[in-house]
Amino acid sequence: MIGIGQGYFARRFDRPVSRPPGIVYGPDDIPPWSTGLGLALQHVAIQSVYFVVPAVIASSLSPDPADATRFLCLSILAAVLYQILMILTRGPVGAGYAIPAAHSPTMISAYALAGATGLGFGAAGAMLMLAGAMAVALTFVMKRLRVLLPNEVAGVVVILLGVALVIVGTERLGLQPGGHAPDTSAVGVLVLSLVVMVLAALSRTRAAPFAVMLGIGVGLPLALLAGHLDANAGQLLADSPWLAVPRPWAPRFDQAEPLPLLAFLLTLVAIKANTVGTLAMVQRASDAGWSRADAPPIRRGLLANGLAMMAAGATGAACPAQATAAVGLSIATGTLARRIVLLGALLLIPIALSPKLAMLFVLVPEPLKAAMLFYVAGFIMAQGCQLVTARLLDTRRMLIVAFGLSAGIAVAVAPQAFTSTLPALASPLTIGSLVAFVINLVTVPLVARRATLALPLQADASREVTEWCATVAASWALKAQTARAAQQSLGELVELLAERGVATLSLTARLAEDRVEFTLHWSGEPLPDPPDIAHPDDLMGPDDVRERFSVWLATRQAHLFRQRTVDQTREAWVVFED
Amino acid sequence: MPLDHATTLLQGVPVHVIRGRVDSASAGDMEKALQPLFAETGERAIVDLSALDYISSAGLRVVLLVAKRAKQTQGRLMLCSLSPQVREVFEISGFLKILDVAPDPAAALAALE
Repeated sequence: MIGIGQGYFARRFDRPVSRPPGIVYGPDDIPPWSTGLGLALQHVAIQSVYFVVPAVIASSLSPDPADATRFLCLSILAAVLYQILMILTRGPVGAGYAIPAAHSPTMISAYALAGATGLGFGAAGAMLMLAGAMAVALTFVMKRLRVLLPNEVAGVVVILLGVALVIVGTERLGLQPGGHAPDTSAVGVLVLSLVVMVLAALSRTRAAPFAVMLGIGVGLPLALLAGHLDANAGQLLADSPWLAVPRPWAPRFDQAEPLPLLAFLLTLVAIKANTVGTLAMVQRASDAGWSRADAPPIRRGLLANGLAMMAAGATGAACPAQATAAVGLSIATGTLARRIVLLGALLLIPIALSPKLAMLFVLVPEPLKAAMLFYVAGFIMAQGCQLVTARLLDTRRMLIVAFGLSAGIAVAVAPQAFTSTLPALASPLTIGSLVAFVINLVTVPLVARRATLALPLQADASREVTEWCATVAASWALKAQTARAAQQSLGELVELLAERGVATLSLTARLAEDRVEFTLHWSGEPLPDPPDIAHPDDLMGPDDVRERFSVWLATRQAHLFRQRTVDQTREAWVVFED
Repeated sequence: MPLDHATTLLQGVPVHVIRGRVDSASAGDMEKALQPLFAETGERAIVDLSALDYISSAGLRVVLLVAKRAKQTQGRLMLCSLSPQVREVFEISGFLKILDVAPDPAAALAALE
């Protein structure tokens, strides 16, 4: 394990990013107050769609509507804490990304099991605290994050997040079993709202970032005219007080039961994968040069996630998670500024303290909620596809994607079969994530491959080694960038060793899940250490300066470079991330 | 592919096309090929690297030598048409910051005029 300050969470090790074209507000940008507030309101509108999750959870733990309101308000405060922790730009906690928070539908099954076992909010909070503690602990031991959650697994999770949102959207519209099929006016409101959203997004005007709000703005009066407001809306609003500080439930560890606790802990795998998927999605959208996930910000994001879960459990609130739909909207509109999420957090606090305001969001007509969900679900699934195809798909990676998606979609289309046999895991996201995660883990040993080369260092040794490297890279399906960097590095080192009179070089290449390692063995002097900074003029200097430049150039794109002496044989180790 | 060199004229400006790979074994050949460049004051020249497959620090040293000679004689050197692999080497080595590079010979010529 590497400790804090040694690079595990340290921000100085974050990969530098380059701003992608089309981004309106990058993470560090500060939009004008009016624009920021409008964008934050749009997030809050989408986040409010997720308020249904605490409502569903509350109904499985208590039949009392007052408990449900209290739980919803506490859960909104937990979401506020989550998004504030996530946007932190100093210290070991927080990715520094704009990630609006909501509540994880992934946990619904675990809460339902707790309710079915007769447990209340305190016991559920205790189990959430334990799951949060486990999430924090896992963050410290997941050094090789990309081995456990490579792009393919993260991509499957993101695609299934989109699928899960489509399901929630169809539920809002009454298209799931037990629902009331929508009438023509509901479909009309849905389609018209979607058309307005799409036209606004494609308009390339200043209205584009506000596509969802414009869609709601057009759809809301039509929905009200068509009578899609809850019949008891007036009474529900009148009964809700303007101001009420929600009282927390103390965690009841003494009431925790093994089976629901197991469900909470198992769901953690999906939550971790969801969080990694979302963080990678935002990272990708914020960086034009993105080719693979940058681990330190993701680790800090996972730490923020675990701490927010513990805090939510401590107060008896619902498990906070990223509001994927709101994140998808930020990506779709190119508005990724942390300031927007900070303003959103400030807007959520009065809602959490005012049950009447919270109720307003809950009462948004269902066709409009469905339109918002369908709009962002597509963007999320497209991001998932990009994650999956970021690397060349070999048979193993295809199997991870194929079975992960098949399992998830099987639950989506035939939920009954899974709720009766695997109630704790019966969601497309949970099953699909678990299947992809397990297949990846089980097949990791199959990735390891090895190739060797004994090379006499004659005149054309540099050409021979670069050709060998190209063949190895092609047969192992390495990324083109990795292959180029490795060829350049080995060619340069071989030339240098040949110039220094080394007769023969023994070379071994080893492929791991997230990297390719080259080990060079020779008899003779060690290579000079590369300088921290080099300048082209070094090439015109004396031999020792020129040689140090050569090693610097050879290892410039390497993840690691080390040398040692073993039994009078020199050994150099060059590692490239793939 | 071994090093190959050819020279053409583009509106009176010599365009030196380098093909193949430039490593420590062939850097001398490249140096010899570009030797006549910038013998006189105020010369202009384009080096087309579109067919260059590989370049190591030995080849970069030759490019730097020619660039320095151009500067000493008040000449102008433009490199053009770098392949992605070669461009990456120029970029990570810091050469892109000190040399003039154009996307193609026509752009290089325009920059020289």
